[in-house]
Amino acid sequence: MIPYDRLDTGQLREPARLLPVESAYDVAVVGGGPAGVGAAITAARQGARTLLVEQWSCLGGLTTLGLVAIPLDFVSGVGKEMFDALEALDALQWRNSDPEKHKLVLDRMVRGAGVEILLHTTVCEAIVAAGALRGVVIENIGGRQAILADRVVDCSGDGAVAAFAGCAFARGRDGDGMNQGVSTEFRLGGVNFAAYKAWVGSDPKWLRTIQLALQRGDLPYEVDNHLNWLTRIPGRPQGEGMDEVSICLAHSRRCDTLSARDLTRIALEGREQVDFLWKFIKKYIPGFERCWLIDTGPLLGVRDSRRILGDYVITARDIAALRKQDDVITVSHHGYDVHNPDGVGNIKWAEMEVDGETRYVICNGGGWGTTLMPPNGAPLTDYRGRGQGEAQFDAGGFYDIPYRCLVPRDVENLLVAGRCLSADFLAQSGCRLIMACLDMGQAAGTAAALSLRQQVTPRRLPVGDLQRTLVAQGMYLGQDKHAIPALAAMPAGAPAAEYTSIGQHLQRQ
Amino acid sequence: MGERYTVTTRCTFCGQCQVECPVAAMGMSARGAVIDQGRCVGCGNCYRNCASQAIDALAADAAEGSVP
Repeated sequence: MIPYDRLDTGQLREPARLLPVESAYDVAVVGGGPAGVGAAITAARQGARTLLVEQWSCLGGLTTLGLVAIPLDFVSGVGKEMFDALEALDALQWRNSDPEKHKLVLDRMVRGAGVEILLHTTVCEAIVAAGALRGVVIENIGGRQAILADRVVDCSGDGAVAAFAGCAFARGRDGDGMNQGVSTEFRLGGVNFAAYKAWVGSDPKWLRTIQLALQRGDLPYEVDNHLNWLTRIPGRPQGEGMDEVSICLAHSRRCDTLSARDLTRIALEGREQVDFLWKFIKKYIPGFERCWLIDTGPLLGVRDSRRILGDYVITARDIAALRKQDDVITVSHHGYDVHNPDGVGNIKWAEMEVDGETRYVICNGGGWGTTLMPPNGAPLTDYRGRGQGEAQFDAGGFYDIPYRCLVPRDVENLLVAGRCLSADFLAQSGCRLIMACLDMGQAAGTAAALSLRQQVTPRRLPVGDLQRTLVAQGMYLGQDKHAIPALAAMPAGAPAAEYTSIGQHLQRQ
Repeated sequence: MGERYTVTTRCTFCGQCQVECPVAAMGMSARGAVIDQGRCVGCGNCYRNCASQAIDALAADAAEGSVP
């Protein structure tokens, strides 16, 4: 209870009060999406007493609550274990996952690593002393409490802890700060996928069908000019007209993903869009004649919000040039992928000066899939200016994500992982996929635990120690494709990770 | 060797097949992913890792001439 104490400014005064300390850990991971899962598992396996704080009732973030059944990008380390566990539950087929079974898989993996999980809990403040994180303030059914931690990994997706701690951040695209289009993913059941496959070749991205429905008034307005994704959920009866699909088509534009008012607008708008979209699909798309709406994802498909300023900012140029970095902690192959902030369509290229000329550069061949083209009919090229037919994209080429992108510049003992990494708008649009986030989490969790063991701040952790540990855990850093200085001296048969508690380890010292 | 594979119009240009191909047989064009049938060893990694089920497995003779 606080007194009604209104100031002349119109604000209320909240008196100072005592804050109960709920618990204390070596490592607190904030956010239980793919990044947080990776961070918590790896920190615990390195012996740190680890807590994972999540505001919803399950783990997985966009993979589960967002119905994004597409875990794309490189699979390594914990990601490989996750794929194996999904497969064992008949929850993985092709490159699609079952969002419901995925929850259970992650529960078991995280608990199995010895992580303590705290659900239904929001982080609302950072505890900072002498420029270093000391813990976080939480709010849940038990009220407002403190959790102390020697290291905090911010996997909130929104860089919430870093922002509370006063770290500098960027938001949205250059110029107007607008975020990428935000999706409301939805599932349809009762689909005859074979019939759909037989038809879709005639209108691959539904471009013509969407225009037809607009002309006939069966779509009130254009939410997107093409189908972004349609993925089949595994584990359903096949060939019996009982397929289930997850669809990315509903989009809100001109979004401010740091405003709860705007997130509310997006959620309400998304459900209205899904209402007319699924009826449109049922009427127009062969194979969907008998379909029904199962659900909309309760977690909005936010693609970007805060990007926390780190010791390095990965840029559009870095990813176009497939730049390799000495402090690589994971790799990504995914190029620019901007869901248009203020209109329909996707943008998969970046304008930049290269060799004194303006180029519209795509990063890897996926850029050919752009639906919005450069201005004035300018051609798309690769970084070196070679156009279609000449551009030679290294098949399976990738760019590095450096450790410095996970180390916020402005505070110690904090790491960030996931879509809130230190990046410019266009680079972030590429390295934000599910598995890239999980891999960043693995690196951040490992770094948090190693830095504790070595009693240095994460910023001062020798990156070679981190890289050697990641490789020993089965992570792929592109080490077979380019020389990584710290790994050159790595002995054959690198030592396995230690599984002792850091708390106990420190007590013995 | 295994089956032959062909890319259909459902390709969304995500590029995952390029990463998964062990023999660098996957290219990307303005029409979507393309399989270099001369290099393809029929392992099926592209097929299994396609999130859009855009790659079809065909009998070896049926794949001839069907690559976009």
